[in-house]
Amino acid sequence: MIDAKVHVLVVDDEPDLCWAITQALRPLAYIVKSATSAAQALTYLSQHTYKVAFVDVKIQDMDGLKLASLIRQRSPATRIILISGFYYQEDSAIIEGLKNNLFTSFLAKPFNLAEVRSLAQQAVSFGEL
Amino acid sequence: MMNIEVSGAESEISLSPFLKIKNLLAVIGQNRELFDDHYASMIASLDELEKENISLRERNVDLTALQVFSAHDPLQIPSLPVSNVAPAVALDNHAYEKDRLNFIMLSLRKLGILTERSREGFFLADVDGRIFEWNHSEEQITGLPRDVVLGTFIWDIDMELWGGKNSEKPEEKLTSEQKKATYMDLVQTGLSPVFERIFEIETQRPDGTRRSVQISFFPIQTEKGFVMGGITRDVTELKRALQALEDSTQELASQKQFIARIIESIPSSLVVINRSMQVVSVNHNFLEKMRREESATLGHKMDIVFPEALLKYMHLSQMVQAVFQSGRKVDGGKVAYHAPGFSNKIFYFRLFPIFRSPRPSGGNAGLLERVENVMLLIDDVTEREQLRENVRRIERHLAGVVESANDLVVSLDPGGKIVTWNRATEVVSGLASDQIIGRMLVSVCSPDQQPAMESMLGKLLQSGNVQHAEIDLLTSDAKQVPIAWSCSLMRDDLGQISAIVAIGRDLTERRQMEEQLSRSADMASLGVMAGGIAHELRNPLGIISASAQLMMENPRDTRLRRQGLNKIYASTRRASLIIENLLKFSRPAGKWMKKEINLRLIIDETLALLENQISSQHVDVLVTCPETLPRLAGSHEMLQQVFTNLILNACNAMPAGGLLTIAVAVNENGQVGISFKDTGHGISPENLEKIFDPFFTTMPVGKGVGLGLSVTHSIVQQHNGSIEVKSEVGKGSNFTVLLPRVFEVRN
Repeated sequence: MIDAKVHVLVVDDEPDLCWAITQALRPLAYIVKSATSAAQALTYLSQHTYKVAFVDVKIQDMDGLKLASLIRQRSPATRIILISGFYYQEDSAIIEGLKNNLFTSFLAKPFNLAEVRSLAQQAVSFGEL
Repeated sequence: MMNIEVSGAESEISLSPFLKIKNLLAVIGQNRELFDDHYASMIASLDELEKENISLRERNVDLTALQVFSAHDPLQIPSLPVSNVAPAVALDNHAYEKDRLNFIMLSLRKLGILTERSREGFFLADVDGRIFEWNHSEEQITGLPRDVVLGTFIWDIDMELWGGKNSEKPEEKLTSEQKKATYMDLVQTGLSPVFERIFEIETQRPDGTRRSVQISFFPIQTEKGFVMGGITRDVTELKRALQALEDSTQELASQKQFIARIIESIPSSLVVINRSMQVVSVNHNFLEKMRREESATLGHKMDIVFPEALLKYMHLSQMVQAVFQSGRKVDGGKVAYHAPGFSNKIFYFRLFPIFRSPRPSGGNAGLLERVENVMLLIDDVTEREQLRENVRRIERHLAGVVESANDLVVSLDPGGKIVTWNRATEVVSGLASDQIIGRMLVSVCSPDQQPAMESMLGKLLQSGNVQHAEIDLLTSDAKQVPIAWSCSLMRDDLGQISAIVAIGRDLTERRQMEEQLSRSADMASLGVMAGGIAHELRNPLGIISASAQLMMENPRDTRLRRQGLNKIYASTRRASLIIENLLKFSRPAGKWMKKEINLRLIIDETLALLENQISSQHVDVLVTCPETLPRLAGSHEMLQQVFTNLILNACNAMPAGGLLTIAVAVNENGQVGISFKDTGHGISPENLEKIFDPFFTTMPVGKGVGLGLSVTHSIVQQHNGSIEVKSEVGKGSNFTVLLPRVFEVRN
């Protein structure tokens, strides 16, 4: 890695949530990029490699799970953390997704900032092991 | 006083008066049996006289008196004293001859009486053709009096006997000359075409009455030749009687024939049995059915004629005997018989007594009456029975179908009275059919729905079309069962309305199912809604939560705090708006105050509230609004809700951005229209009709709860307004809220 800095992508059609996650990750000194649509996210992904992507399940132009699988395809190294206000931890879709390695972890809204950071750190360190 | 020519005739008729009388008697004797004992002796005497005549003549005895007598009305004779004659005879002075003459006179007198009293007429003509004898009956029969006829020529009396009637040319009458020639021929030869025949002629009396008369002619030989005598008989009555007899015979014969034809053409077997149990009459039908020859049937004992099976099974002989004894008809009933070579047949037997004389009506005639014959009438009822059986089977089947139907099947007369009421109806209503038949169907409908039933039946009778209605039935325990009725008319073969058929389906179960379904639909939509609500609420909650945490983590970061607080506030408002929508949907606004509103202000406020959303989706907004608008009344908040929903929908329809045109205008009806026109993806026609349904959404789960347009619609309706939608897939949609210009302003 030429770039030593960790790049993180946040995809949520709620700009305020992107803002909140960005703010939460600030202490970790990652480079955080926000996308409010799937299209925007995929554009960013094609331009840069992101270590971690926070992906909201419901994005206006695409289902979050679909976006997750697209990210897995195009950027296998990107660890995906799914965020949702719709699903809960024990939802079958979530369990299935985790089992299939579609995403690394799941974060329910409203979330704890410490947890956001912890999941981001876990994801970053996973690749370094 | 009578014929003066008699004396003259005497000279011309040299026929011996005795011979003449003898001939006359012979003729009479042939024609009638009414002669007394004197006849033979008279003949004998006359024979003697005939012989003696010669001697008398020789002795110059004057026979004038006798001559006169013979030609005269014998009834006049009694007035003619014998002494008048006697002197003439006495001239001879022969006592013996005198006695003879007396005897002859007496005999002649008797004969005269006899002739005169004879019911047959007779006449005689002399050799010249002059009539010199014409008795009383002849007068009666012909209507021609003696004094007119005597002395006239026979051919001048038109009796059409001169070969006229029976000749080859009946139309041509003989002239008097021809008749005379014929007569003269007869005088010469004693032969005439009229002899040996009996003529029957119609005569018309001078008084106009017509008689049928038989005439026979006979020749009498005289010294000068043959003369003609005739005997006439009035057969008018006889003919009439004969005719009557013939008529009645013919009538009888034709009646007999008629009856025979009737009997033959009866499509039943007919057998007549006499008291000796013999078959005396059968018709063809019977012979055919039993496959018997007439010769092997008539006159035979019925035990031989009828198949053994029938005799045994039916006790036919005993039945016949019973009818002979009782004189009463018997219905023998049905019997199935399998004749060899024929398919199985069912016969119906009836036995009738036939009396000797027509049975007097009423009264105890039994003792006097005797049953002469017994008539068996055997009908082949096979087809009828089969038909009846078929009909019965079909009826049973139909009845079974109706009875076992799950549906209520009720038939009514055209007046609405119940005629049949099947089992399903009994079960549902708890009313047995015998309790209900004859009552009006309307009377067992729920009271508040009775007019509906009446109107449905009325419409049915009027239009003839099948009518449908859901009308509750009152049960025996005063419950109401919802029934879906289909009523139709039943018509007879003439097309007249014969009945109303009402088929009802118990909706209880369906209603329960519908309720369940609706509940589960509610549950399903609750699930959808829960997801939607969860997402919608957890987003602002997530923002609030994160903002609060950030502020706590960075207590001194004033910029962050300001941002956080703003976001917390905005998210709270958003969350509460979602909750409010939900509440409005679940509890549509009841009473609310109508106030004068400023449309432009509402639009501006709404746009400000949604600025964030609009800009984040790269939507440009263009608002056009006239400077002055009609005064409108309504709810500021509720209309804001309507505009919010429509603007958000427009933005959602343009995920890649676009133009939202909000235009306020007054249309020709005076309504104020607020249109929201986007350049989004549009709505498909099949979705267009569902967009106002609650929970309908095309958005991904969580993006919309599907309540926006339902609430919008409800609010607009509460403003007495309407919403129009035009949309084209790929081009965009245009929602126009129309509010009435005059809106009552309270306060």
